[in-house]
Amino acid sequence: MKVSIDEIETNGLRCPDSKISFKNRSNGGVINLLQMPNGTGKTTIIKLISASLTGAINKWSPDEVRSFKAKSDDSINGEFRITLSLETNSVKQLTFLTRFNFVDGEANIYTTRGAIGEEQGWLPPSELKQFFSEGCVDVFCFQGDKTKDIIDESKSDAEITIKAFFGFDEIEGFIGDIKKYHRDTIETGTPITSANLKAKEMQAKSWETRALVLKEDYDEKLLEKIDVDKEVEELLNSQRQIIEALDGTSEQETLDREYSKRNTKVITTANECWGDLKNPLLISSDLLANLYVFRDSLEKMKLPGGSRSFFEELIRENDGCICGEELTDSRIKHIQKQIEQYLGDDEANVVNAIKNEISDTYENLKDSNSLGDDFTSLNNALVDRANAFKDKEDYLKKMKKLATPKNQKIFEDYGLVVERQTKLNNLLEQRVKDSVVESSQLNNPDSCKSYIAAENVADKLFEEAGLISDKQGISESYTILKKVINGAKHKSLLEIKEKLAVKTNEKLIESLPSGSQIEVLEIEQHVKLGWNGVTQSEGSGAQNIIIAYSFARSVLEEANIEFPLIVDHPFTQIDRKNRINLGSTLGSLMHQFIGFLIDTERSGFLEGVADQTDVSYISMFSSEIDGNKSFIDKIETLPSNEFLKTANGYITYNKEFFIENEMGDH
Amino acid sequence: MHNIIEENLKEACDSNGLSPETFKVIKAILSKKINGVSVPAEALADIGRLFDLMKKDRES
Repeated sequence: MKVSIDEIETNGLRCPDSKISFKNRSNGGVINLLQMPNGTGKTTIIKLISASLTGAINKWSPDEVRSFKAKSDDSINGEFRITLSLETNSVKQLTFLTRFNFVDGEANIYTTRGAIGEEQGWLPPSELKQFFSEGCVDVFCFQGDKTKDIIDESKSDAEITIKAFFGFDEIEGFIGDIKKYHRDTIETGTPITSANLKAKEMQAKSWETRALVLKEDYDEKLLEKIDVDKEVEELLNSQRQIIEALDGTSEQETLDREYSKRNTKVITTANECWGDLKNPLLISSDLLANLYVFRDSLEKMKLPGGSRSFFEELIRENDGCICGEELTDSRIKHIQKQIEQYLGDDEANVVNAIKNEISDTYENLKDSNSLGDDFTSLNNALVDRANAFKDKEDYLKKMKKLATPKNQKIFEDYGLVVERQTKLNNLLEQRVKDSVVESSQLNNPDSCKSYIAAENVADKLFEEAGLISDKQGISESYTILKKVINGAKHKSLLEIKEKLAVKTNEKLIESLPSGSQIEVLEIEQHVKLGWNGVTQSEGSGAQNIIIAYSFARSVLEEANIEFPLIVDHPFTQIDRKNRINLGSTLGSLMHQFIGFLIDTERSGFLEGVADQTDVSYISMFSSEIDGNKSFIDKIETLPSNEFLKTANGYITYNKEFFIENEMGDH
Repeated sequence: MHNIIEENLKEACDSNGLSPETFKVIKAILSKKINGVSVPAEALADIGRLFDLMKKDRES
C-alpha cells in the first residue's frame, strides 16, 4: 500500500491558518519543499502530523493541548485536519480531524474513511493500524535531529522501529496474553500433592506485585527522562550558542569530535576484551599447555582408527579369517566382542580432528598475550577518553568565565541537568536488568530492583505452582508455548535485522557518492556503522542523513508499505556539495518527500533539485509578524490566483517567489 | 505476518512437537494481533482452544 499526504489544514493554532496541498504522483517521486520563517510553526505542524497519525493526541494533557493555541489569537477553538490517500488497487481517502478546545484543554480526533462519514475517535483502517504506531511513524516523520538517533549507540531507535514495523510488539503482547491465561488458570487449580500450593501461589503473586510496582516506576521515570533529555538538549544548544558568540565554533566542535572518537575507542576495546574473556584458553596458559599434553597422550595411544571397519567387512564377506582359518560362529562372536574396543572410521576422524584443532590452537596462542594486550589498550583508551573529557571540561570552564552572569547560569544549569540525566539513566538501566534472583532472595521481593527480573521470578513460581496442582498440563503447555514464541521471535528479529542491514547497504551504494567509505556493519539496537569491519560512531552530516533515509526505505520496503518522508530541517548539517548531490537524488528515494526548510539549507540543495521536474515550491508565512513585511509586499504583487491570504498568513506555490525570498531567522 | 517470522514459528513448533493444527492456530492469533483486528473476548477463547490443542499434541 502506498500512503501519501494530500493536504493539511490548520485553524486557530500556533501556525498561520492555512490549507497546504502536497503533490503526490503514483509513479516515481515528487518533492515538496515548504519554507517558513523560523518561529512560524514548522515544528507545530510536524508534531500535529505525527500525533494525528499515531493517535497520540488522545493522550495529551490539558497543558499540552493548550500549548498549540495561537499566541496572538483569542479564539478558544482550533482545528487540524490531515487528508491522506491510500493506494492499493484503487485510491481511498482517510482524514483525521482534531478539534481543540483550549478552555478545557481538550483535543478530540474524528476520522473519515472513504464513503463512511465522520466518526468520533482515532480509527485508522485495520490494515494500517500496525504502522500508525509511534515506533513506525518516527521512521518516516523525522522531528528535530532524529536522523542521528538510529545510529546513536546509546539509543534503541533502530530496534524499536523494526519491532514496531514487523509486529514484534504484538508478539510480546501475545506472550503477555498467554501468561495471563496461565496465571488465571493456575489460580483455579487444586493441589495434587501434599505441597503447599497456596503458599507457592502467594509467593508468585508477591513477585508479580513487585514487578508491577517496578514497571510503574520505570514508566514514570521514562516520561521524566523525555523532559530531562529535552532540557539537556535545549541547555546544550543555548550553551553552544553562547560559546559560538564568544569563540566561534571550531574549537568546541573539535573537542566534541575528539571526545566522541575516544569514547568509541573505549567501547570497541571493551568489546574486544569481553570477547577474549569468553575464551578460557586466553585466560589460562596452564589450560592451553595441559590441553597440548592431552593431545600428545592421544597421539601416543596410536588409536587403531579404521580397524573396526576392517573386521566388520571381514565378517560381512564371510570369506575366511585373515589367518587362513574358517570363520566359525564362535570366531565371529569373538571378533565382534573384540572390535568393540576399536574405533570406527567416524570416531577416528573425530579424534584426529580434535588433535588437529588442539595443535592449531596451541600454535596460534602459545606466544599470544592477546588478553593482556587488550587490557592495555582498554586502559590506554580510558586514559585518552578521560583526557578528552578533561579538555572539554577545561574549555567549558574557560568559556563560562568569559560569559555574562546570566549566561553563566546556563552553564551551571546544564551541569546539574546532565547529573540528573545520568542518575535517571542508571536507574532505568537497573529497572530493566535481566538479573538472576538467588533462591535466598525468594522471600524478599523488595530486594529486587528490576521489573524484568521480578517478572521472570513470578513466572517461574506460577509454573512451579501449576506443576503441583491439577493444572499441571496447562503449565507444561505454557512452558512449551513460551519457548516456541520466544525462540521464533529472537531468531526472526536477528534475521530481519541482517536482511535490513544488507538492504540498507544496497541503498547506500545507490545514494552515496562512489568511493564513500561507510557502510552498515550490523544492526543491533542501533545501526552500527563502519568500514571493512572497523566500527565508527557516525558518518559526516550528509552520510548520516542518507543512512537514516536508506534505513527508513529498507524498513518500509521490507514491510511492503510506502509512506511519505517528512523531514524538519532536512539539510542543516550538510555541506553545499553534498546538498547538490542529495537534491538531485531525493526524488528517487521516496514517492513523496516533504521537507520543511529554512534559508540556510537552500544553498546547493535548490541547484540539486532544479533539474527535477516534479518539485512543489511552497512558501508560507504569518502576516502578524513585523519581520515578514517584505514578504507581504512581494506576495501582494503576484496575481491574486497565485497566493492565498488567510486571517493571519499567506501561502503561495509560486516557484519564483520561493527562489527569490529566503525565509529563516527574522 | 512477515514470512521470516512465519517460517521461524513453523520451525519452532515442529521442533517442540507441536502439530500443524496448533501452528495454524498460533499463526491465526498472532496475525489478528499484528493486523489490529484482535478482540479481547475472542482472543481469550482462541488461547483456550490453543491450550486444548497443545494438550492433544502432548497426549499423542
